[in-house]
Amino acid sequence: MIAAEPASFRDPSGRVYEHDGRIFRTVADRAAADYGFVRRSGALDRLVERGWIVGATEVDRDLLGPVGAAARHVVEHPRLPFVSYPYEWPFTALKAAALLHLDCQLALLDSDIMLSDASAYNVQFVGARPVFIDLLSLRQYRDGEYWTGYRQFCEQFLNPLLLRARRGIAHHAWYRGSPEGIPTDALARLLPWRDRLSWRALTHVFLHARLQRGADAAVVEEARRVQARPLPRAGLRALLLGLRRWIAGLDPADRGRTVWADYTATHTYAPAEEAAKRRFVAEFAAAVRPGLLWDLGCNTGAYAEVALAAGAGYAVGFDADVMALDRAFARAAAGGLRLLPLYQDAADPSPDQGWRLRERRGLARRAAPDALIALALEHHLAIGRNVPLPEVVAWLAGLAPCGVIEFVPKDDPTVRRMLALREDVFDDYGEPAFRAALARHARVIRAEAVSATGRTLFWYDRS
Amino acid sequence: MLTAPAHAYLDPGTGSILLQGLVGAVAGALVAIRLYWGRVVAVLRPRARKDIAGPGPQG
Repeated sequence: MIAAEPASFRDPSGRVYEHDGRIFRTVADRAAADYGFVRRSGALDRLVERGWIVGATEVDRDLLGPVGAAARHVVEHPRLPFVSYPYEWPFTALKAAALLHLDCQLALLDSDIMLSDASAYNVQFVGARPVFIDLLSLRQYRDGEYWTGYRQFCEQFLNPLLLRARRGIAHHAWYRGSPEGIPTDALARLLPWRDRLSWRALTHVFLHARLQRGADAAVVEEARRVQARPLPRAGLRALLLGLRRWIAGLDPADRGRTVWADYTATHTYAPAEEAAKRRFVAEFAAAVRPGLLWDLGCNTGAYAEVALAAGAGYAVGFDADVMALDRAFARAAAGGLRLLPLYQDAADPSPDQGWRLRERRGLARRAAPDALIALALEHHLAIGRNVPLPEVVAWLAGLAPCGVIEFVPKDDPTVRRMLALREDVFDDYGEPAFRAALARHARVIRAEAVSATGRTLFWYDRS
Repeated sequence: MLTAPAHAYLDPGTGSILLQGLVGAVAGALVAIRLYWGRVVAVLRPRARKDIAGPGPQG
């Protein structure tokens, strides 16, 4: 029996299955009428054509055996290069996903189609391009109906964006700890008082939070009375358009310097050293031609871009600096790169979580990379987080069968700065120890010093 | 009930419905006003054009 994707249980309209490396979705009897309506409308094909909604081709039900026989239809989706979650997306990616959701809903409404929810997990990314993946969220619009997904849209898109745009607080940690999103009531307590003067914040945040507070029988009865009065289509459209305009104008409030966003401008490399590093990464990517490359500590994505140009198929970048990630996402969007930058703390990667810890996959249970680059990362773990050097090397070399890891010695200005105010407890930290640790897991194909201070790139291979 | 419970697997939340009732009404009214205003402008436009065209025979 083919097992269903554990995250697809919420909507009884159908489930997702992975079989033979292909992605299928069943359509249950209860969803057949809506599915038929959506198919006939032509809207689905138009938005698939536009790249807004993931492709969905009807296939023979027998492909899924008994699971297919029990379903009304089976469709196949193209496989995405890498699954990611909103608590990993840069601000700019979450914003792009929010706009995609609203644009899809506005376009679909013209064809009398409504989205049954507004889950941010229904959006995935291919490079910097968001794509809506939940075919069975599309159902026939009923005249006068309310937007069922409105609260969810606020919690999973609007509120985390406002947190950064109005308060300069990145959403990642909170969202990861609260995968259903950021409650409107909590955001209302955080926004500055003057935001009450903005009609949008007043209604979507303050009033919305206020109205959610009471849930006794009288309030429920009042909501039922309101729901019995039709919400005019023009009102629904205006609501969606208003949110779209608001979100399109949101930018992070913290536009100042961060440690790493200015890295490319101020870091300790001379141009010649940077050129050497680029050349090394390009030669590695050209020789290995990895289908999926992980760039750990991707910063603004410059080296991932080099690797992609040299022959890597798709790159996922990880960093913990939110401004550097915003820049990396902008780089991917501007260049149409197959690069997806994601928030990730190397010392505390995304865990398995959600229902039975299987709903949202931890980093370790997602598409494994064919190769990795980890430039100027190792010392942040070994010195910055006190992870023993051999463990850092074992972890990195265990992630991908081959890769490039940069070693940063104690004499390097960055490490000196890291140790300036603390005791140096790293007696065994040094290039010989790094080299020995790496040799326990892989062959070193090439090693090259790229700076006068002794920064060295190691190309390893354990295949 | 407008929303058939069979389709609404997600709870929209009472507060969110109340707010949509309010915001939807205001937004709908604004759209209506805009439409109405468009008609008012359309009626006034011939005279407005004349004004822009310069002084009339008496001016």
